[in-house]
Amino acid sequence: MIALLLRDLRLAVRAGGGFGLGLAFFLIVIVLVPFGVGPDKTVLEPIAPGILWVAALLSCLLSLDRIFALDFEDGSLALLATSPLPLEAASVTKAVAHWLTTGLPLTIAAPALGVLLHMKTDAYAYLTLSLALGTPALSIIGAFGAALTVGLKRGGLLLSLLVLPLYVPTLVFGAEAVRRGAEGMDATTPFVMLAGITFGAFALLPFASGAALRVNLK
Amino acid sequence: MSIWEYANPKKFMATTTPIIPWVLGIALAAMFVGLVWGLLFTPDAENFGASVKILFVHVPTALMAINAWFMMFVASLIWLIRRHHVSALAAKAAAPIGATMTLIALITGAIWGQPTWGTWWQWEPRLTSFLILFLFYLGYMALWSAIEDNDTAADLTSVLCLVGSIFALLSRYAVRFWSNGLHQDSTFSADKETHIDPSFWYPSVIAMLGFGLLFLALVLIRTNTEIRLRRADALEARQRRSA
Amino acid sequence: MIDFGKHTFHVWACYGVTVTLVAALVIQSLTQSRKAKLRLARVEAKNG
Repeated sequence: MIALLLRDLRLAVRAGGGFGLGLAFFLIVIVLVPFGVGPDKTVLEPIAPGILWVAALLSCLLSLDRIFALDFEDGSLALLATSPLPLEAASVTKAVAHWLTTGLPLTIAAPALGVLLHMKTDAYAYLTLSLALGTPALSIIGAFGAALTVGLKRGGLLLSLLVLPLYVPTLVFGAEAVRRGAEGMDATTPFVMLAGITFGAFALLPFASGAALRVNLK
Repeated sequence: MSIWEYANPKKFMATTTPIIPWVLGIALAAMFVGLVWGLLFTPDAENFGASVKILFVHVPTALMAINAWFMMFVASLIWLIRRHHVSALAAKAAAPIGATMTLIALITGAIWGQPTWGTWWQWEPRLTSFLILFLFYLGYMALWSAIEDNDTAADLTSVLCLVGSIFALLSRYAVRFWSNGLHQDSTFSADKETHIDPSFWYPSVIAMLGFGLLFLALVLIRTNTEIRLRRADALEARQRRSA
Repeated sequence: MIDFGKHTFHVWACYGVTVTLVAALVIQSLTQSRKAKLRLARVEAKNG
């Protein structure tokens, strides 16, 4: 499992694509927002937490189809299926690798981009914590979507259509936590819910992903 | 005699074909009676004026939108556990109907909201939940049409339906948490009949019955269509092999 | 035209949307069903 994780990480870093691309996309979305709504601080400040969360979510989406697609094409996924490691565990590993290459850099970069959007000072800690708690859920849910669509030639668009509705609860609680933090309100409830979603998704979704992978490898 | 006998596609078709016209006929008749009664022969409500008449279409379609997804959930479970093809096809057949019902519920909800809330769209929990439900229907149907092999498609859409159900419920709670409601509490649920005047209750029950039967009739029709298409595909494949 | 006061437009729009969409769904289901029946009949006839 750890070997697989390391292999995926190495591949991601060497191929370059997924690793930097998600971050660059995140940056571009954040830079585009002020062009769209105007540079006014009074406009940007209240929407900053939501924009950052939506942008992080979209950047995550960008590299989802790479979770299984490459391994499916060159046959290493079929090889994995015959190995003693169950596909459920493999999909967890893949999701963790995806998070380490996408979610974690996004979490680290987000506060810096918050400055661009004039986010309130109080909100930074909440932003980092909520992204750290929430982005793993995005990865594991995304891995499920990627497992469903791995057999399709042009699954990318379909993958977004399937995964985005599943992201709604995570986004709601994640953005709500930051908004409450920014306004100095108590943010315990959204944080607890967010953690619940992440742990619940990690406990249950690998079984769905494993089942979907098995069907696709049949 | 067990209910699983109807899992045989031939038996299913032989049993349902003769009753389809009856179910469809009664459904359309009940809808006609319920809606005309609701539209023309009910008094205006005190606070809402004539806009209350919209509820005679809004409530039954909203009900069917949720029930259709629930039926797909059960059918997907049956397919995954017992692998009856009719079950998978029934789930596939129900999706476009459920999506249409969700769309109607959304549009009528928005139109109802305009005079009541003063805007066409309000990010209000139930309306938002229905929008999300609509997206789930779209994704489900897109996945069905994207996969060529029928059994693979049935497997994957069933898994999606089960996971989607959990997330649809979760979204409902998330959305409720996210915005405070403007919606009516469910005045129209059957157990609260005492709260509403019978003059509203009868036509709405008839309309709900009509929409329910309509759903049943359409599911049967579309499932039979799917069974026939599947059989035609199989026969053609056999022909090609022997040729 | 039946008048529902200031809500006339809203009420009729709702019933219009509902009737149109339901009718479209019913017609589409029936057409598809007829097409499937014809196709199956053709294939079965060829297959003997």
